[in-house]
Amino acid sequence: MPKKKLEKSRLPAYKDDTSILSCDILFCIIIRLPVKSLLRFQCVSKPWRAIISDREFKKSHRDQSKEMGREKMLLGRKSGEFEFSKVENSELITMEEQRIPLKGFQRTQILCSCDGLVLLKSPRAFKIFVLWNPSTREYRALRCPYLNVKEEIVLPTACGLCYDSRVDDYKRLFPYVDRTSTIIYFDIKSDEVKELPTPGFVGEDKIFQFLLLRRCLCLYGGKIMSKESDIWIMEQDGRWKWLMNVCNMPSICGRFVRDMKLLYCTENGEVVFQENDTSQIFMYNHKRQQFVRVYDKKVSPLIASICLDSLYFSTPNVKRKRKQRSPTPNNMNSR
Amino acid sequence: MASTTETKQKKMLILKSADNDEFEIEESVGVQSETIKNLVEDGFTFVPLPNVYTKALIKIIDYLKKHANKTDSNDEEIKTFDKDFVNTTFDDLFELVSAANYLHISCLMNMLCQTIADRIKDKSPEAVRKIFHINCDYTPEEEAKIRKANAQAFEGQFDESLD
Repeated sequence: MPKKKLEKSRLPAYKDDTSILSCDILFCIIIRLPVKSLLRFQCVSKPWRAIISDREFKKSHRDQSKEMGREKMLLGRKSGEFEFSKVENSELITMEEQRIPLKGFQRTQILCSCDGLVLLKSPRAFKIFVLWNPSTREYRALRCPYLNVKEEIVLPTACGLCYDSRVDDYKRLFPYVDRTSTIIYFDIKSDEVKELPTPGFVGEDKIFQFLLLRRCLCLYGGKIMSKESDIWIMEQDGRWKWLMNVCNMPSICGRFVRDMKLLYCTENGEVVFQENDTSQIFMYNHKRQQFVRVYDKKVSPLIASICLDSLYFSTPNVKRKRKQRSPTPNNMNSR
Repeated sequence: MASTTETKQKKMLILKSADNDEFEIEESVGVQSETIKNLVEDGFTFVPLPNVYTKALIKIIDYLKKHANKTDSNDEEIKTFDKDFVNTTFDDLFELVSAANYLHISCLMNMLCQTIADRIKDKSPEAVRKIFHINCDYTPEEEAKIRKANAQAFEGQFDESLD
């Protein structure tokens, strides 16, 4: 089993005789810890901190989290607060409250999330976005270089984040999707926008939505006026696999595709939806073909997003150094 | 130990622990360890394990025997066995994880690392230090600085127990 070894030079202190486990083994253990524990365990000792703050460790931790499916639901409240919540016994339970410390971004929208990084947009600002890791509370303001059109502000209809392993950073994507049944995607290997062959089940009278479900590309939808929906996922080999049919939708919703947004799939295989108008959260049990309304003690959330429990934050080392040397009032990095 | 009739039929290996105890096991059981498999492929039937002590080796052989007989029907039985296997002290787990790492038994390694991680995740840094026998090398000022920078990770109550 090949393991990533940390460079010895980075961990000079780990040679001490008090350690009972080798650095390799310690790496394998602590990589399985959640972010909150890791942040706390930085003060166990200097060698522990050296491992935890290492960039390679953070990347491996992110991959491990993905593999373990360690996802959290991030909710944005109307009050401007964010919180990590979980659905337990069809009740919404707050695990951790979050705040965005950047001025003007307290009441922001969650545009998209990828691997534990969330892209936020303030309702008033059009050029500035905030990249945020709510697990570690790191954030960075970004200026979008493509929206400098004077005449009209064109907002992207969709937005995405993707990881580019070549430059070892996340790219912000703003694809414009038209209303025909064409799926376009951005190939990060060739840096080109390409068209994905339309799957056979997407008929002309049907509407489908996208989502990343359990690391797979997922399409869900059906006939425009339908009260039912089908969920399909794309398998590793690129073939579409039918996952389930969702029926018996709650009476407050009229049409499935218009009114319901798929959020994620729980460990027990329940599918969590959000109703668009009321922001209420529902859980669908596939075996019983039953929707359950998730009880929420507080006012309805504005928006819900899924977020990986990850230490990783895409701040290139070079930029971080530059920032330290000349602290500017608005430390914005445009890419 | 296996009976003599079985010994004749099946290929056997002898494992020697760091404290010089010898154990005879079937080759098919032993080769779940990558380290042993490599030695067997090179023609060895006597395997000295200078990094594995008898106490850990006995437990690991038990594990390998159980997992060598994995079928579809005894899934529950193996789960119970695994649960029992990791239900031990931290010091025992550390000894086992070192042995599993040396022997390259990846499924055991994963299970042990996950067990240790699950058992320490809600603990305080002080408890972790004691469990891992670590002497804190921070000055009180340095430690306070790190705590302050990660204040949210210190919200709430933590488990101070050492088991």
